[in-house]
Amino acid sequence: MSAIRKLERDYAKADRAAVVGLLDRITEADALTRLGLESRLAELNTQIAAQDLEPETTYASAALFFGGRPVIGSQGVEAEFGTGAVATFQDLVSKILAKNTSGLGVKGPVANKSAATMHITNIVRGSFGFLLEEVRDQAQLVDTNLKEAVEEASELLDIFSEADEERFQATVAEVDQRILVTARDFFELMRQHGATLRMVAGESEFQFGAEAVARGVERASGTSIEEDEKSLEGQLAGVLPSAHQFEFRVAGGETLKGKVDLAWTAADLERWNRELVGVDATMNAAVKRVLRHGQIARENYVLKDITPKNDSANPAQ
Amino acid sequence: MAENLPLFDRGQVKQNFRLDALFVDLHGHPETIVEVARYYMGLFSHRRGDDLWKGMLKVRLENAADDTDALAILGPAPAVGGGVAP
Repeated sequence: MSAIRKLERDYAKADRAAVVGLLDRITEADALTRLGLESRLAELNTQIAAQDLEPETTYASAALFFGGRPVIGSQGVEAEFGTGAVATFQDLVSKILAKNTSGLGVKGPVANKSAATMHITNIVRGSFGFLLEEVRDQAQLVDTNLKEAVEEASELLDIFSEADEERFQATVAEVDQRILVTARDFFELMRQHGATLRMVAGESEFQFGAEAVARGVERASGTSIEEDEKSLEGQLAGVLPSAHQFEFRVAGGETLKGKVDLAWTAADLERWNRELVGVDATMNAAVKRVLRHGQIARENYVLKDITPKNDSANPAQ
Repeated sequence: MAENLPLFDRGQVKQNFRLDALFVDLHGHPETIVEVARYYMGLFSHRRGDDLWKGMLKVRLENAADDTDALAILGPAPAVGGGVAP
């Protein structure tokens, strides 16, 4: 559903709730008033039923409503802040789309950037904000990559600003340093201008009050992500072929869990379960560390390859 | 009132007079009057998408001269069935 359609549907439902509330309290002396309200209720019910029948939209759409210091009622928003916030949100969406499709490099131009282009198609009232939409020539049946990227971007910002630390760390481990920096820019801009935000993307709605913005700034600036490769001796405890997950017992130590690189097929993994479990082996893994104020808060492993010791000249392929 | 029920039917009034008629009993419960005035004020004061003022007009019904003036301003009666956006 597009952001604006969610807003319209929410509005109609709130309106209906108000009318139902009025009808509940009405007295016998208000016969004509009742007629009017009942016809209004029927009208809203028809409208809501029609909205429910509309097909889901598959393109990207987000409504950003700003509040706080840069905003004057529903009249306007400071140009520098408004354009900065929209540009940073667009940047975040482009980077998430790149990560999900062709991969996001450590630096340099963001791949596939033109595919991430959103257009400002309208302003939205009720404080002041913008409607950003993906403009497409043709309708398509499945959700576009950009729709998913926009929803992921808004969820990411929400996770940055909500109190749940565990969920934050788990999510951050899935993104990378450049996305983290862009999220920090976004929250920093909001904090500097004393702004608040309400965001509607697809079916979801997110609120960013002053406290949430402050938490977002603290999280984004106190967190960094480090990536490197590690070679570990030990034994494979097993893999889940379709989920692409592994467990590996490090020699003389803990058991590591993580994902297996998607370059390996499910058939490869089934073979590992037959041939490599409990065999002394060397595993090469990509490690992603989430650092909070310089301390390791979480480590994620992705198994790149595994080579049995007795057959080191011939790695499992 | 019973003899003129079609006058209180919103759909028929809209069809016949191009008027969106929602009635409020001025002899009703005072609290209801306040509540519905609040509700209709919210509904009719602004256009939702762009906050453009709509506003409400007070027309007394007992003065026939007002009817004549109104007819002169509105011009000839519209073709029946033409819908008007709320």
